[in-house]
Amino acid sequence: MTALQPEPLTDELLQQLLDSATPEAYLAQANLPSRSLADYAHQLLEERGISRADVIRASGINATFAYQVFKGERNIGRDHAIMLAFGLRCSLVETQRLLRLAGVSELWCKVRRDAIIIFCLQHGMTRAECDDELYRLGEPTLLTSEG
Amino acid sequence: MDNQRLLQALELDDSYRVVRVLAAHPSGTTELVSDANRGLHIRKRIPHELSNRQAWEALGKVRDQRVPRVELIYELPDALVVVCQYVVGTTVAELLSRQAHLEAYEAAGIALGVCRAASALHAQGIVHRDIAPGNVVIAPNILGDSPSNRTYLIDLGVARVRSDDVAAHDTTTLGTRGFSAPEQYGFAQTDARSDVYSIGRLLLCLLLGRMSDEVSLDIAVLSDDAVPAQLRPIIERACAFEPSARYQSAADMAADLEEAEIALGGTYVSQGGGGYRVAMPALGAEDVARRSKAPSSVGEADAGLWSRLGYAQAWATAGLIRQSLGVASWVVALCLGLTFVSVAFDSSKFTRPTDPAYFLAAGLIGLACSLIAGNELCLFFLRGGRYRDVPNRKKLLARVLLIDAAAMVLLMMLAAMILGVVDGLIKNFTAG
Repeated sequence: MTALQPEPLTDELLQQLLDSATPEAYLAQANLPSRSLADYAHQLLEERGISRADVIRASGINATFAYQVFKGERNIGRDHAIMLAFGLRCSLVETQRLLRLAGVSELWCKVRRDAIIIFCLQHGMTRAECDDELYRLGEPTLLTSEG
Repeated sequence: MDNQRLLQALELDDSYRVVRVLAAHPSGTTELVSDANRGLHIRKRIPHELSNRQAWEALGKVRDQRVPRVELIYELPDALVVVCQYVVGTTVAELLSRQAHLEAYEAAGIALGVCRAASALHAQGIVHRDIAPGNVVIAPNILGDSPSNRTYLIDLGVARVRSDDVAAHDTTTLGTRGFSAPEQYGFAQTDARSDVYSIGRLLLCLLLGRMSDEVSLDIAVLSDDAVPAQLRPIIERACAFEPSARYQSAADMAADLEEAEIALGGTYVSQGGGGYRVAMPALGAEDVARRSKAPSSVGEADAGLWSRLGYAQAWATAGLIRQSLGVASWVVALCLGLTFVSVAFDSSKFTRPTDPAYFLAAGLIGLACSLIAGNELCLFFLRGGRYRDVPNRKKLLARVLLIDAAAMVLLMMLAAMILGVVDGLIKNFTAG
């Protein structure tokens, strides 16, 4: 786990990049935070004071798979990343950050299914409650029968 | 591994907080972790292909104070995790690197402690295979224990369960160069006698104050003045090339070492629970000469050893304070108790509860009791290892004083209550 430094705001970084003459000039001064999905997940665990077992139970992700994700040994798909966000009790902003770190597309309110998920996250619902909503509104659920 | 078991393991895994990573190798990670109660433990993660759950479980059955307890074993998908007791102290390697010179009886005592630890392991069919200065920890002297009782044999990372298949050779060479027995380099199956060899090397290093790989073991070294005559044959026999020429068990070696330790003047007599060091009378001219520079009293001996152990001094200081306070508080309590009894029977002194004498008596008795209780509490906590994470002397003493103060307040209140009741009874009695 990396120590938390005050992180430069994304907007400021973008402005710096646009103002730079070369990419190297930006890279040299920007001091980009190197943070992985696993680091971020551990940071959230620590902040919330919850254990990985709690997260796995709440998210419905397969335990062995989640263990490897927490160790940073495995990449995670979009739906699994969303489930992980539910397990970690993420806010919308945290969820979007988690999805970016997972290298998948963020939740987008113009997409019907994403909109439902955003609503559920925003209203503090659990992963199971979110799946109920998705099912009710005729969208594929996060937890599939294959797990 | 099924989900349920993994969830349980993860729950255990996350119930500890990592304080510091002590070592991280491909062969495993060792961490200092703290539990929910801030107690410290050592946690090892060993990749499954290198781990030997059977050995760790056998280790869990070892009940010897000199071997860290195995507290918990659980499995994660990629590793076996073992949580052990954390032993506070200084490793012999640290002592040697600080060029600390140990008295012969201390060296013998430490080797004796390692022998006893090793024989407890051997009794469970475990061979340590890496008895080396880095794996022998000397705990600070708080309760006046002898070096042999404060010696711990740690790091059972490469321990193996003795195989019945005699033909099987160890496939991997493990252990520490200079301390591992010849057969550990692949000549033959390792057994208890490999550990005996390592203990012999360890003892030699302790006496010479140097690491073993600088010391080639030959007659010249053994005739060094630093190696007393009593210990020379023991080292020679323990370090024989042929396992059959060595001591056949660590217990045999322990018996000889014990004799040597006594002859070197380092015998400890246990007194009650505490155990105080009692210096034996010198044995012969050689010992008299040695003793002229050797410690002459309990305090000196301990101070001498612990000044070399640096940080551990705080513990010794705390222990010394506790011990003297313990004695003082008993004396004070006895005097006050007698005074109180004599006063109590003269009931006229206690006609009014506002009588200053009443408060004075309650206060003094409370004070005395709290000294006793504070002492016992501190000893209990120090023994129980709650103070293992205290980084320096000031903090340690501050905590000791805090316990004292808390005990004092509580017991003063208790004493006042008891006196109130006794006073009431006396008044009733005299009125009736």
